[in-house]
Amino acid sequence: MHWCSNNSPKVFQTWDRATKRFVHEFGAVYSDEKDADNATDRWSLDPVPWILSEKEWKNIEDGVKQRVELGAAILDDLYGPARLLKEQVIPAEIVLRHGGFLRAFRDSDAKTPISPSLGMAAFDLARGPKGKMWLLNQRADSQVGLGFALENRSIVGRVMPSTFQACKVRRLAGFFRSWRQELEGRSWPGREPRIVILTDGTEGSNFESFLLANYLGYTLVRPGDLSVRNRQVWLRSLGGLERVHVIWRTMPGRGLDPLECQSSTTAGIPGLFEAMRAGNVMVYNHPGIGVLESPGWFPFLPAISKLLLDQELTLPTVATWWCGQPSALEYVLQNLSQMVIKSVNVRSNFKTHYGSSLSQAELDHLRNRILADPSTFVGQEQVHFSTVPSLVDGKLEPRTAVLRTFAMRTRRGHVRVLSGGLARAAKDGQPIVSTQEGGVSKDVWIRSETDLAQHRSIWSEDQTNDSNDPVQLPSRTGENLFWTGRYAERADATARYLGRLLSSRIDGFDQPQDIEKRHESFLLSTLLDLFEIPPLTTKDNLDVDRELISLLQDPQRRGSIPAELEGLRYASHEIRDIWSGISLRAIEACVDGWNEARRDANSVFDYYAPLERLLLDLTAFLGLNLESMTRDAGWCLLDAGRRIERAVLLTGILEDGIAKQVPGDLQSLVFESVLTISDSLGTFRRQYRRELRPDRILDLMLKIDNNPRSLAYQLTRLSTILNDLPGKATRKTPKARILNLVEKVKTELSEVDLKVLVEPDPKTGVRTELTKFLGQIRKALLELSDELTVSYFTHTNRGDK
Amino acid sequence: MAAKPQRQYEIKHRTRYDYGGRIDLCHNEARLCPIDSDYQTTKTFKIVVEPSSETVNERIDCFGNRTHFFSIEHSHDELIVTGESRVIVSTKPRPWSKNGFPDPSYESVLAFLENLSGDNVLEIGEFMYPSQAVPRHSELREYALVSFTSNANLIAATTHLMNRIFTDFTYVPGATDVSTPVLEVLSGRRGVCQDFAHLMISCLRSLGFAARYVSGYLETQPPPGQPKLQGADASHAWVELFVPDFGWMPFDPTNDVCPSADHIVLATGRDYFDVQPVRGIFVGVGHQLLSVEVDVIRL
Repeated sequence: MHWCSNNSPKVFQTWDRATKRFVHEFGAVYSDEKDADNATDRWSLDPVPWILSEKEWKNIEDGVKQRVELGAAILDDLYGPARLLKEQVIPAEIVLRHGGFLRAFRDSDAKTPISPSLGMAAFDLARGPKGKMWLLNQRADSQVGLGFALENRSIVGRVMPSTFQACKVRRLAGFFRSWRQELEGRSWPGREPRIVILTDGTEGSNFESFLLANYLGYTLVRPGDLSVRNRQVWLRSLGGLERVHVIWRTMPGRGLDPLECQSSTTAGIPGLFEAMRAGNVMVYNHPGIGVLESPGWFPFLPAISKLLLDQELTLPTVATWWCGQPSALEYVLQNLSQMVIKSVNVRSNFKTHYGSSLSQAELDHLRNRILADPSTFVGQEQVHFSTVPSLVDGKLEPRTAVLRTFAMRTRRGHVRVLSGGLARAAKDGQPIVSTQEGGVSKDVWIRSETDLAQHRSIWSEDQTNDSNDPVQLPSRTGENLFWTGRYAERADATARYLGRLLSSRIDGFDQPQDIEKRHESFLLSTLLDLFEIPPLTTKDNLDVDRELISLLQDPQRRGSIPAELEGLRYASHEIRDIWSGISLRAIEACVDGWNEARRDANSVFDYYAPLERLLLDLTAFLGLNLESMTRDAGWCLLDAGRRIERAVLLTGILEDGIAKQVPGDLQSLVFESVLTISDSLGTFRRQYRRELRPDRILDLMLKIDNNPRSLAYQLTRLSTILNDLPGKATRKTPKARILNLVEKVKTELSEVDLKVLVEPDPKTGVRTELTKFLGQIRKALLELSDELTVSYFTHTNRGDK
Repeated sequence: MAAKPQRQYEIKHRTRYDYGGRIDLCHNEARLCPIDSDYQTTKTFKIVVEPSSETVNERIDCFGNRTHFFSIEHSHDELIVTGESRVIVSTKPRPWSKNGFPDPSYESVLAFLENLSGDNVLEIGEFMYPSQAVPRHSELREYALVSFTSNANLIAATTHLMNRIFTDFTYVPGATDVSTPVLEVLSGRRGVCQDFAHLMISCLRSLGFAARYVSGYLETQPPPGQPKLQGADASHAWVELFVPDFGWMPFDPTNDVCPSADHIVLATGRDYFDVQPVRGIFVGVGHQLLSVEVDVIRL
């Protein structure tokens, strides 16, 4: 009887719902290794874990350890004496044709001090009919699934905390603590090693890498963030170039150094292998170990184990035939309808075929495909694996499942296996042989028979002195933070404009219809002006209804709410690693809330409440960052983005609402709109308790520096926060230029005479001095934004003329 | 034994990249130093990089080629890499010049290659399988099979294949580039030395033989009475086939000859991408306009 089968359907429902909510809020995205570009499937998680007893686990653990030792011995041999090839233990073609075999690490001269060694590896296992575990796949080039194992544990632990406690589940932290020590363990001359996690930026790999980076506290980087100079690796950071000592990669080894890999992609870090040869950087996992992933090894592993380890393998491999051998090919073709056919290259675009589910025509096609180049295929026996209980539509049902285990090996050769893993259960009735293929994921619980040792965090006790050296953010991260701030502010302003328009539609502000209409046109044209959005019709003949619908709904429309939110989502997701979990949920809330509103709305009026809600969510997001982010360069750029955008928008709003000539009968309504959109109407009323007048509005919105919406306030904030940018502010440095720009604007503002600004041109009625002043301010602010971009984000041309 | 006839050459191989703008960083790998073999000795070699590189690191790659790594880490708008060497080349003996060397039947060669052991697994096996520029395809096999009739002997059949490539294909500079696939060359019936070398290697490997790519130089004699033009000579490419009990035997399908002392070997690999004379990747905005000049002067 399963431990949770006594639970009522109601409990299952609660688990199911809670799980879905957590998964959704984490924004988990999974993608197949082979199709990393387009897969954006939501991660799916069944909260009922796969439970293993300590005894059962011990066998798995021992078997996996042996496999790691075998893998390590194979690599030492392949990139060293190559006995396995020379003594014909394995057909050379399996190695020589595999894209993971990197000849750059098989130099002829012995000077090269490095050779690929195994750091972390993953193994897919499944339980056969008699309860025995079988090995299906081995992975070494990247550890897909490790981040999800961590994530699933965190979710399931929250969904059923008491059950988790009662089951005495072995913890994952110890494994990560050892891995940390391994990464940080080598001493480097001078300072503490700088460790980064390298992802190629594809969505699935990016998400997992982000989870790991967040958990371990390492900087997440893309190939473009790193460059090689002086045979050392450097990170382009906000503070300039920073030396990197250790890289944990989650992208394939063959794409790492385009200079030395025969790869068509230009991504990667040119010169990296040379920096490795010089001993100036450690890369985990070492490139070149991907060759272990070929299933072509499987038929030969028992013999290899005998030769290299003098041991029998304790975990059996599913029977496999490498089609490069004539007798094996014949066997596979004869039994094709009972075989699982795989490519020897896990990254090829050949999808695993199950003979049993193919028609005769499909079998014939497969046969021809194999015959065209047999050496690139293996056939595997299709084993009927036993099932684990899975939660399906509120009921427990048996499903076949595959377990991915993770193991690491230290430089000294010690192997450690993660006490848990990632399971994937098949969809109904489908066979499954890899965690790479569809299905629902599950957490894996190893139940301890003794009491668990006291829980220790992954952070090891300090052996060294604390370093207060701030870790600099990658420039790309800084740029995305800056734009996150700008997009949030733009979405905020757009929402306020459209909210004001909708209020007018709802009650017309008790104005005659003609005034109401002209006011709406005025608001709309100001909004279009402000964000440089081309109107759907002509400028003089705006269609307010169509514009409104389009700006609320159409993600393709420039400046629309969905478009601005997409900008916010994109910029913030590019740098998921730096947000706290709760900030991420706040961003998701903004985006999801709006999508829901778009789905549910029957008329424009249905958007009124969601607009209010969006303003609240945006404020929550920005407020959270105020509370939970360290005041480092990153926060400073996020806030700078907001302040600059807010100030620029304010100059536009004032120019349209105050500087331009507004017909007398519209004036009071327009002034009220200016203050509403600037979120300062209440402040105005408290401050002046009198009628709305241009001089008072200008005073409040420009000069009063305790109004958080005023220009003076934005400038004061900017000069404080930009002072925290990395670098010195001595003469002629970029930072000095930036701070000078802010001071210049502040001086202009303090010296300007509001009486002069407010005076309209007697002939046209336009406040030309005000227009001129606002224009100057805006120009200076945009210059400031450009200066930040050049000096802190791109700085490719540093120091060169 | 009589002294082998020897020739001495002075070689200057100059590669120039024009970036069409300023770039900040580039990393490069050069394979410009002629290899040493039983038939060839490099007396002197130097590599000159302009603008100058802080360091040039040398290693020997897995195919035995001397490889130089260098970087330019400051702003520059062009890069000139020059390899200068002095080489002594002796005439390679031909199998048929060895007394009574029998041309092996091609089945016996295949049987030998199927059962490689010891160092042969890597030294010969590396050149038996598809590689980036050398695909496996039934069309290539069919083209090759015309020369390899059932009782053919290896050297005769390979020579026949070389004759056919020389006859069937037209040498057209500019018709192809480094990325033109062999199958396109096969159907278009034209290309340059590199294409013909890749084509011939693909044909030989698709039948199961071991064949490798050779980059190097060919001394071109000026017409009588005229001085040799500087820079007129280009870098060249041809093929080597593994012949059991003999070793690697060269074939030049572009000229329909079996190279002797006027072919100077620079590097060998599975295909062009293993032996690219200069390979560079730069960081920054720009493009790479490449020009190459080669001088081969017989001393």
